[in-house]
Amino acid sequence: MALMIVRRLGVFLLTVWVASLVVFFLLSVLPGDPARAQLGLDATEDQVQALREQLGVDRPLPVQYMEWVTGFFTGDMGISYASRAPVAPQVLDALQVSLLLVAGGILVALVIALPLGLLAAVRQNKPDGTLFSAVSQLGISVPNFLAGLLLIGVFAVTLSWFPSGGWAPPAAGADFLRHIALPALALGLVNGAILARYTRAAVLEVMREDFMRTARAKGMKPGTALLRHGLRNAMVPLITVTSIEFANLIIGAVVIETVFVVPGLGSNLVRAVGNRDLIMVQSIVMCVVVLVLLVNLLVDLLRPVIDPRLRSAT
Amino acid sequence: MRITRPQALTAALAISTLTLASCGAGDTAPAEEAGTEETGNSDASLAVGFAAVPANLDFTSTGGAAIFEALLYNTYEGLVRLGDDGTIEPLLAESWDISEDGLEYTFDLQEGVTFHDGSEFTAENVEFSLERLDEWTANAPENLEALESVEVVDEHTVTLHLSEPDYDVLFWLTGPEGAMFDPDSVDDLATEANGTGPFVFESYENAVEMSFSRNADYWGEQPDVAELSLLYYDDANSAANALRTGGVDALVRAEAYDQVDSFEDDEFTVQLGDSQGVVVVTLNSDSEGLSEVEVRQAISMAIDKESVLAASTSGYGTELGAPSVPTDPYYEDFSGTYAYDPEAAEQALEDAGYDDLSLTFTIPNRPYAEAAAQVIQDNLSDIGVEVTIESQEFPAVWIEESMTDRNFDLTVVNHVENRNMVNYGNPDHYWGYDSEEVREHFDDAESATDDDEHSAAMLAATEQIVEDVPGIWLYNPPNIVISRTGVDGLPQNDLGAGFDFSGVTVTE
Amino acid sequence: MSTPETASSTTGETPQPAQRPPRRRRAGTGLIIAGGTLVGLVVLMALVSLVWTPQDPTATGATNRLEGPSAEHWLGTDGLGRDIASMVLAGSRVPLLVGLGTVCVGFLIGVPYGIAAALTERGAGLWMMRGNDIAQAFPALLLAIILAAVFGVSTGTAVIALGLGLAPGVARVVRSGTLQVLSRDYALAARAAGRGSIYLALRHVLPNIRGIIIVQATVGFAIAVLAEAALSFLGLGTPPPTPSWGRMLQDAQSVLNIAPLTVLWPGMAVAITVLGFNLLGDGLRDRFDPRMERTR
Repeated sequence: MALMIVRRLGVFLLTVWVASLVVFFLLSVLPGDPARAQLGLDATEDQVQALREQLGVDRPLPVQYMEWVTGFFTGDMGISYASRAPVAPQVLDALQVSLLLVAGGILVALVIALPLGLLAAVRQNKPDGTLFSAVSQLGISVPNFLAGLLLIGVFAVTLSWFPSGGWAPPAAGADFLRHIALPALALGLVNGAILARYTRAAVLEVMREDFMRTARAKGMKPGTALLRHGLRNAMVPLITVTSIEFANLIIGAVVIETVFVVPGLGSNLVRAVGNRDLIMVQSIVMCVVVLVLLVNLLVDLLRPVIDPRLRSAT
Repeated sequence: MRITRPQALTAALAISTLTLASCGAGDTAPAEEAGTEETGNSDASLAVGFAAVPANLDFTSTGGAAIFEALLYNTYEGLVRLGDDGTIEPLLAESWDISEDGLEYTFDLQEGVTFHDGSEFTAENVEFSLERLDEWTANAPENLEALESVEVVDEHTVTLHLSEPDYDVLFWLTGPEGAMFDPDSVDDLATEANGTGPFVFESYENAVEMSFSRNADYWGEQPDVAELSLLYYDDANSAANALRTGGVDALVRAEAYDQVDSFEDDEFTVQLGDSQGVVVVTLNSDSEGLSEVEVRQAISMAIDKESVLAASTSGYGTELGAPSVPTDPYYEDFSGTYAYDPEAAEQALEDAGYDDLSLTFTIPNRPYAEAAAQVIQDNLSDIGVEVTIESQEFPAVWIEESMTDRNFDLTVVNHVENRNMVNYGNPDHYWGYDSEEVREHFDDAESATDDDEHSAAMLAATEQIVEDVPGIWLYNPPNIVISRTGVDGLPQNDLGAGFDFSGVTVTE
Repeated sequence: MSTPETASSTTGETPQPAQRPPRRRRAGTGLIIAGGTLVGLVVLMALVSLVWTPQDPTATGATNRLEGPSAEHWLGTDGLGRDIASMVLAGSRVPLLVGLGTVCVGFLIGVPYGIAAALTERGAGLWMMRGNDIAQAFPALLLAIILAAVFGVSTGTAVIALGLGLAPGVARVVRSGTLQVLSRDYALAARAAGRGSIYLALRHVLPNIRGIIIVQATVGFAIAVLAEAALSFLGLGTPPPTPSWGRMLQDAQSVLNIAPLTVLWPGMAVAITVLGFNLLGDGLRDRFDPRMERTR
């Protein structure tokens, strides 16, 4: 067990290192001169060159890479070309916002998906089961930003229950909840529909398993058997899917962030790309990649803990 | 809804700097803002929604109007300011005097003025700030290139020496170039702002919110609101929603044009003010076909500016025919010259021998530009010109590809800088326009000694530019200010300087 | 972006009930018909729009902006005075092309990679999957934003980015499908007979995983349509004036409060297309599911 954890950690670190190379060199070919973009319409070539030197973007790439990568992991991500402020606090702020938003979205999604998927599976060939499936099928088909626009139209502009956008940190308490409600709902509704389908599939699969048949053969009611044995097993694929959804949401939330004016990683990335704020772009992309790999690692480590079948296998 | 349409600014702006000086206008007290009887004792806060996002706080090295329009007059102040009606008013200079030959400007400074960090504002600061213009890399420091030296006469008197008379010195001093700095604070201009203005800069959360508090030690009349925050919205619709749902108290330069009508109720006030913006399609004279003036004229006649205006701003704003805007003292309406006449356009194109022209139209990826470009593309297809639209990220890619490399046949952008027409006198500008005659007119304007002479020279330049069609001036967008009822005294016009919020009162 | 296709590799395909009464109709037929009809409708729209639209979808007009439905403009006009019905028709081409392109790019990379990883000796194959994991840590939308910055905003860039984003998930599913095939007797026999990898891949693997591929392609198509809408909404997808549903949604956003119908039509078009491909995918999955072969 311990050996496996060490091995997984080793692979994780190696993966992160390779990813850092990819991120850095992929982005160093970004066209558009950060110095020129900042100085605007009137700058002379000399001024642009001077700023290039000041920003250090005229040095050899390997030198820039070493500086960036060591900086990234020591929490010193450098100075943003655009805001001229340290990158790290800005990225961390945006990261916090994104994580909260995605967590909220996943929470909403799970609240929707678990009952919906379970009912759709248990009542599979009955009209209400089919209805649940149809609802989730429709839910997946709606672009999440459209859901967001409609939520704003109804709950912010018309009913004035929630603000139409913006963000408040968790310290703000009720204000935080008011601000996160609609974007989390917009994220969660659509992803809830996706998760509901996987829940249904996972539960159906579990219902076919031998131990469930045994339980039922022993006279246990299907519902009881499912709750006693089934859900735990259905959790494994669900956790995997949720982790994959997480990877997609953390940057996929960019559209929702745009609609709701939420200062998360996605909207910061789009803006940084627009400003050719290379160091900011690299840091955000790297941050996302590390986060996704980290979640994958956690799921890998957790899976044997949850899944009794895997535990006996190892 | 009350729509208050401010009077045309032309007349007001025509009161020239020199006339002011010779009348002893320096004696004029600082402009009184409306509704400031109970100044400084409200604990109200004001939240204003803006569209253009400042990248940082340093307008001396970062281009674009977003930074100085937030900081100038609120946190930073200059010797003089531009009033909401476009007149030049005293600010940190109580009064001034201009020598007969127009080469010496002597300013008497306000006494008892301190920066927000407590240090005193004196003539030394004027010397430091204006000499530092050499280090500026953005926002057109060359506007003040006639400024040769700054002489500290005494603690509260300073004299500017010019190398040649420049009609516009006071005008440029009202803008960002005239902002006064403290020498100890210029190292972190990008992240801190230490000025003498009515609002103390508190913090800037990148692209989200800039916060200010009332300057309790302000030398002039204290602002009514205790807290000011400027909130930034990338798209006009989010901004309009924020106003509707109470997220902000007012929008300045609101761009959700189609929604303006929907604010017609008792809860909101809409004001249509003026801006300095010129939305111009530039025709690259190095491109095949476009080098011929007849072709450029034909393209001008093919464009239906009314449709462009309708698509870009729902019809708000003024159709243009020249690179000057209605608030310019030398403005004249040229919208009838090479105006929309598709048949004549097609004929002209045929006569010039270009009946199968195909052009690349690079545009910044902003809604106004995308809307205008699609109408223009449609218009030009009517006269047989095939246009391919290439959307470029603004600012980075557009500035690099279109402006620096001049890699376009047609391009469009909204020039918000004050009096940017003078760039037609600069052959190195991306407009690529070079006319000796125009440059001579601009020189005449600069060395003018009175309004009439200045305006006549500028008008002569305008006429020549219009005739050569280096670009097609589409429209001058309005500055739409929408506020919730109870918020009064907002600046109505976008004068290309700062938006002054010190006179705003908030009730409820 | 949601990528159910990557997930299905780990959760298994939508399973059928354990004791299924034998039916005359083959599994999933209903879903295939429903999905196929919707997809067919969209394809028909695209084809019709090539030869005919009620009006020119790019013709603007200042005088007839934001009109409601009328005899002349069946679905009304947008903020530039363009005919929405024509735009919805013509706007079907871009999502379909993006879907097709994305699936092609994703599968041209993902399928060979997945098969190769399965066929390769254990160690190297595992390393190939590690590489795949790294690639999977770059979500499709992240790639799309970066590539749009590197190569400029265009439909082609979006297709490549989304295709690259799709590929790792495809590779994963294909690898596990291939491993299953390789464990069967005929594949073992072919290997024992000293047949080369390429022979194995073409003769045994591809024909036996074609069901998985078709199902994944359908779902990938649906995801690409959604992603294209999202990218266009951000201004990183289809540049103007090419009509595209995503762009229409972005344009309509500014007039949502005063002309909600302008959002409804492109929104419905996207939803119907995605629904069609998803239903089709589910139906095909029921039909091709390898587990079903085992349970039967």
